Amino acid sequence: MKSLRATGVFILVLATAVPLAASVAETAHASALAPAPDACTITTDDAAAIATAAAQGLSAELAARRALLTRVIGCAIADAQTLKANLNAASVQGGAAQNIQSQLSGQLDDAVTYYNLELGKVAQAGIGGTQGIARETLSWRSGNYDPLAARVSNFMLWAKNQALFDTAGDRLGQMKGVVSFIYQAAPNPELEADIASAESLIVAANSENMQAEQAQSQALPPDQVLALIQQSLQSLSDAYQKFSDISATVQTLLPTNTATPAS
Amino acid sequence: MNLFETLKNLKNIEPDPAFKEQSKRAVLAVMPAAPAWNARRVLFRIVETGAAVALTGFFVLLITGSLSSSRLAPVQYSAIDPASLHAEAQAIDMQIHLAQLDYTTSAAESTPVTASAVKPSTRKPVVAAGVAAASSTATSTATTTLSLDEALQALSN
Repeated sequence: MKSLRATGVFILVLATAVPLAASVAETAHASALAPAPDACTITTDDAAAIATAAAQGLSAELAARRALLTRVIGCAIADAQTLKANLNAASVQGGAAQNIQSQLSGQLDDAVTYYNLELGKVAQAGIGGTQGIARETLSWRSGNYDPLAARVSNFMLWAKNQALFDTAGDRLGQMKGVVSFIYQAAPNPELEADIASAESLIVAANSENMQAEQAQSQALPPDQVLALIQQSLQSLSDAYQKFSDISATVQTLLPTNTATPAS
Repeated sequence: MNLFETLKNLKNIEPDPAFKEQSKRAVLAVMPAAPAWNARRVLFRIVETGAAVALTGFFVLLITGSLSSSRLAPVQYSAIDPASLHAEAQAIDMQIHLAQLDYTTSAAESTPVTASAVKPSTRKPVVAAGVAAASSTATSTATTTLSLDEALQALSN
């Protein structure tokens, strides 16, 4: 009877401890993968701590260097993962845009793989080794990650612009309806010129927007893609200036004030 | 014969068989014949049904506002509303600012890090000059945040 009770207690303890241990291990693993936001705020004090440790001896300096390098690479991984999550959250339509999105997402995965490889070397590295890893990672970031991050940023900006282009297209259609109606009653050359100009600006903006998408498909330099995006937005903005001019003209022509004045 | 007997006899009254046959033939003669298959009639029915469906669809579209961009829709004067135009233009301007911000950020990233990118001194590899510089900066001035690249630069020295 006594041994039966002891077995029961043992099973109870085991049943409680195993999930708890698993939970603790999972939490520890997750925290290792994604450092806390504060952990990624690296200051000059953190860098100075290495010099302070160096004064205490080689082993203290090595430990300080390994700790900071692990932290920095962990933050780089978190940065890439956040960027990937934001990229994947962007809503895009069309096969070409979805291809770009999935390519960039895959490249961010590659970046995380690279960081993990470098992270794996830190535990066995000496002082010179940690310096080499830091130098190598810095160089790799400059040549690979920074351009990739710029491409992802461009893509997200471009994706967000698409709704504006759709709205501008609808607005042009409505404006043309109004101008056409007024033109039937009383031809107005100024309105005709403005709507024609607005239409050509919208056409140009759409064309530049398409070029920006193609440039991203061809993986052209981020600066070039960004220039096309900026150009398309500027054309769209100019078209809205024309819309605004049309709105002002129409309000002077209409007998009643159909719209509220601009605030 | 009393009245009741007469009424009972009337219950059994029947028409003359010859008259019954003649009447039956006359009734059958005026009943409409089953309509014969007629191509024109079928075509008319199809057109009639099609017109009904089309009209129903048109009114459904009209009610739901799906014709707003078509010529059939009345002219939308809300299109010239300056407030909505201004809001849309502002959204574009915001994206332009974001694009400029991205450009500025990427330009800043491409410039070399100078905060702690100090050349290694002769004390290398025990204490790197970059770290020492960061230490002296930390003691002499307020603590500043380092970017990942700046931190890596400090660690590489």
